[in-house]
Amino acid sequence: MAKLTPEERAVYEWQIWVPGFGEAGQEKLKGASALVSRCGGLGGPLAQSLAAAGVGRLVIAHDGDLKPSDLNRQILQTADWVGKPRIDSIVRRLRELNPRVEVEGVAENVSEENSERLVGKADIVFDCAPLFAERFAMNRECIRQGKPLVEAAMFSLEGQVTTIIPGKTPCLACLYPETPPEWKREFPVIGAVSALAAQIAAMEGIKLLAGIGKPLAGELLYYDTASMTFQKIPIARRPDCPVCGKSA
Amino acid sequence: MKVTFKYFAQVRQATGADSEQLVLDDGADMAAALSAAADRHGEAFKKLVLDEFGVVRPSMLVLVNGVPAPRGGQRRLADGDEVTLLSAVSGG
Ligand SMILES: [Zn+2]
Repeated sequence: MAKLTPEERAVYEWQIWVPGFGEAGQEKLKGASALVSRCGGLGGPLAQSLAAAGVGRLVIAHDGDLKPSDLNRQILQTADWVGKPRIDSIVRRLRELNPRVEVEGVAENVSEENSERLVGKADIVFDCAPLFAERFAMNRECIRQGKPLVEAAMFSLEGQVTTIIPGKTPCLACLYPETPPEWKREFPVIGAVSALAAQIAAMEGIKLLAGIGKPLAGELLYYDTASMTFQKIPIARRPDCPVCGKSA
Repeated sequence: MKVTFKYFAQVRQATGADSEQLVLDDGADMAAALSAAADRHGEAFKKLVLDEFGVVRPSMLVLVNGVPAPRGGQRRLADGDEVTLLSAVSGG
């Protein structure tokens, strides 16, 4: 168990007060590592909350240079950084927020080739990727390595979050076995909508790591900010799932 | 009978509506209900929701009264049922 220093006890005081979380919960976060794959409108605010909460080691995978159209939602970026590598400001700003946390920036997006190595670096994975190929690669690798995967996604004014626990819950391929037809990599969304999915996903991870609460296991949380409707949908494993099913 | 349809994510984009009520033949199943909705909303909806055989695509989640319905379309509907169409979305 990673013991807290007096300084850490002071920094995390407000959350140590949370019933059931306490100093033991904080120590569990300190001893944990998380992979956040893609750190934009979803992964950015998510990684920020994990860093603030004191998750000991963050591995952030995100490739590409900052574009003006990223700035409505990618809150770890800065206006003066357009045209420069996104991962640089992500790492810098996370370290500025919480220097007690170890941050490793990887200028790569998850793929079939690197998923084993990247997932292998962490106790828990947060899927914030825009491409379904990345999402499916992460899902497959998390099932293979038996690591929990928090799935977060958004579109327009809506969001979806679920937590995949290998061997217990449905996996991404049980829920959505295929990429939607004519999926466009760029889609409508307001930054606050992706940040909301990010915060729900961050709490899922913090709960799992600290051993508190009840995760969205076998449930898809769906929200629509147009009407402020939040709904939990029961989801089931597919016995014939090519990733987590019996024949897999 | 009357069935309420609720549309989310790209389905909402394709229909231009959050929800609507459709009148279907008594005892209609999900396949008939979706085909009625497809007739109403045209190609974009059809392409998104149904495959070339008229079967619900695996990238869709179809719920009846909040509970996922089997993909085959055989689920019988009743007057007052609520059908929800949700599609896979991602991050970025
Ligand atoms: Zn599965």
